[in-house]
Amino acid sequence: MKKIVYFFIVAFFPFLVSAQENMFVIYSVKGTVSVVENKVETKAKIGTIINNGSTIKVGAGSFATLLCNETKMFSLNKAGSYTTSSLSDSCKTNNSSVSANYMKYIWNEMTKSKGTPEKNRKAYMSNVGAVGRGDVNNVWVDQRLDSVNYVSGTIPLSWKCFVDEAEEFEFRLYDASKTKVIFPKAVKKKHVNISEISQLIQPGQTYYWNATVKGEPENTARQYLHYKTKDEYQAFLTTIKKADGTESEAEMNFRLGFVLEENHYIGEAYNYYLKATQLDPTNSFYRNTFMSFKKDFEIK
Amino acid sequence: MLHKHIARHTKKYVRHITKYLYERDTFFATIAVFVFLILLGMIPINFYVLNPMKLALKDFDFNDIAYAKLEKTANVKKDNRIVVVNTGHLDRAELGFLIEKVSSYNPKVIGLDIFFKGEREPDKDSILREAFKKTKNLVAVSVGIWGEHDFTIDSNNFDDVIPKRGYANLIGEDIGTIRYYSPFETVGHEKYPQITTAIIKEYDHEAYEKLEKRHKEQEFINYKRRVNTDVKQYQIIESEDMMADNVDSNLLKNKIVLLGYINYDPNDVEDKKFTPMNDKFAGKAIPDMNGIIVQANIISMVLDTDYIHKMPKWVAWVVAIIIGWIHMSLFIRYYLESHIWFHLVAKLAQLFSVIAFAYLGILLFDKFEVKLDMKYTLYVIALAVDVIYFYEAFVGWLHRKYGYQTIFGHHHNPLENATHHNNDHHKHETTTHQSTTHEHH
Repeated sequence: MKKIVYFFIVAFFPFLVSAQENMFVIYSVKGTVSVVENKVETKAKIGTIINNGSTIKVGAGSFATLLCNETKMFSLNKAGSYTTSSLSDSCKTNNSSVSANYMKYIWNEMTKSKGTPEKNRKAYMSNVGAVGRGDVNNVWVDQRLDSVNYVSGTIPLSWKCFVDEAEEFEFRLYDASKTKVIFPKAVKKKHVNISEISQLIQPGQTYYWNATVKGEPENTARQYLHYKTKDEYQAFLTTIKKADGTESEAEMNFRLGFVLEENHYIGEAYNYYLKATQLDPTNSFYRNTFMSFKKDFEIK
Repeated sequence: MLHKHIARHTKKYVRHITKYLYERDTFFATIAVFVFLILLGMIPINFYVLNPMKLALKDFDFNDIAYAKLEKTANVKKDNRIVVVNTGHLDRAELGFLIEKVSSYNPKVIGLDIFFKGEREPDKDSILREAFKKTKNLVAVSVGIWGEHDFTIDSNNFDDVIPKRGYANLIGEDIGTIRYYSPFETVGHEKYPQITTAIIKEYDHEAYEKLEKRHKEQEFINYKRRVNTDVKQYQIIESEDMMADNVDSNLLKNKIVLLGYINYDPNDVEDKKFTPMNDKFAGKAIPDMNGIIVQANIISMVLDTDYIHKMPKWVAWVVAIIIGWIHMSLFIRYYLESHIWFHLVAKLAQLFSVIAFAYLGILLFDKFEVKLDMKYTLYVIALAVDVIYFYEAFVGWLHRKYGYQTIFGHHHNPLENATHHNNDHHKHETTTHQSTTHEHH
């Protein structure tokens, strides 16, 4: 019997060791962050130890930086509740030895060839001869999307990225105060369709949005999104519908599309441009304008 | 079968190295390298005045690679005995309030890494003065100045209310890497502590006594922890969080709390120092560590009695002699027997030796915290090839003049028998070698 017990102890010892609990400590905190332990919720403070089975709650626009086993640092900047078990992945450390790293380093250095600045300018063009202003941010939103008047349908709120290797982005929708995040979302694509947020926004209200490369500081720029009521839109449409001269149906639709685009009614402009090209499919000007419009706003 | 094959080949290659190992000329050629090295060192002129390589590598230490590229300290745990409060750009009154707030958390020692020159607004100075008076466990910095013969302490505006002090000076060239510090200096006739020594005296008297008993004029700093945007191996608290009581009540209790300036912006170099932990191990351009973190590393080292043991110079020389001797044996073998391969083998041997001995140095440093200066070894390996030519000319002259017997014999000597200088190089060399070795035996 003893032998069997010993066998199990020896056999499962590695698993017992690997199943060791991780210890989390709050390193820094901003905004509304709390710790729930034994169903009691307390404000998270710097230095608070999060015991196993506890939950950490991060409010919208808040973040907490944690240290796992006093070694590995990571941040929680998405609103939500996190249990200690869900954070265990963040505790993984690189255990490669100095010797292994030395061999790797020597090999990489010996086999690396960057060429010279004369022959390989791509590898040497990381020097920027200018000053930076504002936050370091690798996401850029086209000026056309700086203001959007939304009524119905869907259009993509898109952005461009200066970093090729960026794989994930943080999209944030703010309320009118520009500070409270009402919809954060991690996305792999460089856009979020308005239809995805239409449930969260109310007609007649103003919102703001932005995007950042995941892990980068929050973008200080905010893009304006106004959810117009149907009445507001109809009133505006009536004013622009009046034409001085006579015009064909296609001409009228094209003109309305153009004026709506100028006034940031992107979704509605799309419908009118589309109608114009359908009514006069031979008109290459309509067709090219419509194609450019779709390209500019990344409408597929 | 395979092991026999491997053993045979290993023997063959070992023979390449050891064939000339015990020859008189190998000893003398090795000694010639050291004579040459010493003579070079005796020249009182800095030949590297315009040598960019030498200037760039002036501050270079192979062990720095361990920090910069090999993640030597990546898994070192946060030191829970030390908490750093970032004072940012607070004025004197705000600093006074901050000291009082920190004190209310009952730390064992508060170390203030800020010095105050002259007077400022009386109301603000008065608030700070009161805070100093109230905080009995405060240790503050002073600035030491080396005169011609003695070390003096610069006066500070609040000297009268801060009895516990230590100088903040560290040892390093101007815009150079900080590798050492001096734990004590003599001011007047008294022993005056460095700030970290003064803090340790208050926190852990046993560690203080151990440091004192070492009687070292300067200690090598064993850097283990850093603080930047990606790595936080010390707890940093912003002054706003401190003032807003955003800190767990046990975080500072019975700890060392250091108050100083921290910034994470690489372009802000105020009170930032170059350290061996700099990501650039050669040609360091941007200082990497806030002064307060350098002091924190010293405290951690002393508390853990985790000193770096520097090998005596003679050990470095002995290692250099042994390695230089083995290399010389290999080089002479190729020089005499396969001259066509000599330079290629020498260059390859130099390359692999640099890699291997740099690794050996790093390994000793990483595993045993022993610092062995491998630079003499590397100098010797580099010089050995050139010295062989000088040595050959010299023994050639001795041979002609005094009949000195040498394995170099007539090798490459145009004044000797012209018939030897036919194209059959190998044959000639072998012949000369055989004759000399016979005489040796």
